[in-house]
Amino acid sequence: MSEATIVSTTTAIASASAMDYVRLMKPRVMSLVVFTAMAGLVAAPVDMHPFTAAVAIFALALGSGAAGALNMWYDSDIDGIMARTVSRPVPAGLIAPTDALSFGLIMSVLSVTLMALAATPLAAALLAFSIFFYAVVYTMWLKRSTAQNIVIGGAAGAFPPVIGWAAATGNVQTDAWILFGLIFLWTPPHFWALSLWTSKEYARAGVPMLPVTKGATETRRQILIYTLVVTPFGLLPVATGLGGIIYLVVAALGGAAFLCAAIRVFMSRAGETDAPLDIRHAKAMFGISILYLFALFAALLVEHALPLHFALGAGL
Amino acid sequence: MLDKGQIHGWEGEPEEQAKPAAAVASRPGLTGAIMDSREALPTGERVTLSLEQTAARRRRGQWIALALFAFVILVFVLTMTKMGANILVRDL
Repeated sequence: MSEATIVSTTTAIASASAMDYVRLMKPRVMSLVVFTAMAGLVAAPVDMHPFTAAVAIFALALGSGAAGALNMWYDSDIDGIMARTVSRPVPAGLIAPTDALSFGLIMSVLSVTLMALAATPLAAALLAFSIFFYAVVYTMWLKRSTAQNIVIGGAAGAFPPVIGWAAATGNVQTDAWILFGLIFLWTPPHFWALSLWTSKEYARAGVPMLPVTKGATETRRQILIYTLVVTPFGLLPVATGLGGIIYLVVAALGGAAFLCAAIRVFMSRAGETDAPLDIRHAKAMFGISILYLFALFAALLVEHALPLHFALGAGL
Repeated sequence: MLDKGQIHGWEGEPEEQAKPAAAVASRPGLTGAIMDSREALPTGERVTLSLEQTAARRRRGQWIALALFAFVILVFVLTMTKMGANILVRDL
């Protein structure tokens, strides 16, 4: 071998900035995780010291970021194929895969440790399990093997309000599991709406999303079925006393809008190659689904953080 | 930092003339086994970062230092918040 100096032409990898690592943590997902966890923490019947509560939420955000980094490390091969994900830090060559893995593992340990110190052992255990569930069960196993990937994998995204609840109380009660169920049932129609217009990319990457394996018609039918289940389920917190009048109004109006959007998608030919204009219904439903979940948890936050909680149902 | 497959040959003159690596004398015993495994192979090859890369590495180092410092402070304040009140109820 000659005595030549080797200089990296892939300057980007060695030039990765702190912002690239922030992007590795999926900040948009993290913001939803923080928001739903805060709702769980605030709605819990036990008050937490503001500082420890803030640290618990911070630990949860780190845990979410760790899971995101591990996901990006493992999925860098298929992320590089899909236009929606090709600019992510690993496939874009900004961060080396091994660095993403190390970062994810270190952040996982730090976040769980911080949660155990700030909150309760149960909250830390649930956080560790949710990171494992997202990174291993969903990303490494379900995502590439079954069309039900989003259905089962949705559990990972449903944990934050439960963790928030466990951080405040040290246990998990019925109301916390209702919040879990709400996100769990909301996830499939939300993601399937997205997959209706990204199915070609998923197919190219070999990811068996529902439109890829069962077709657009079956996907639209499943979207409607899940929306018919999740919208009445969204009213359940009112019956248990977790949600009050404000929550009832938001859940009723939001649920109606969400259901209307799902019916419009069902009646359309969204996702079919010969009906490109109909995809607007799927895009509209995707947006409405985000607004629906945001509004539900915002209502819970407002009712419990401010003295505006007027319960209608009996507490469980 | 760099994967083997991501290092490409640089076309042009090196920024700084590389010196041939000196042969590493093997050390006896366990210490030698550990230390020798950490030595670079004396192939004469080395990775030279550009000015931009060096600056980026320095910035990353600063962020890591800042994050570690913040973590230590966070754990300290957390401990004081959760356990500080116990000082008032201890036996004197």
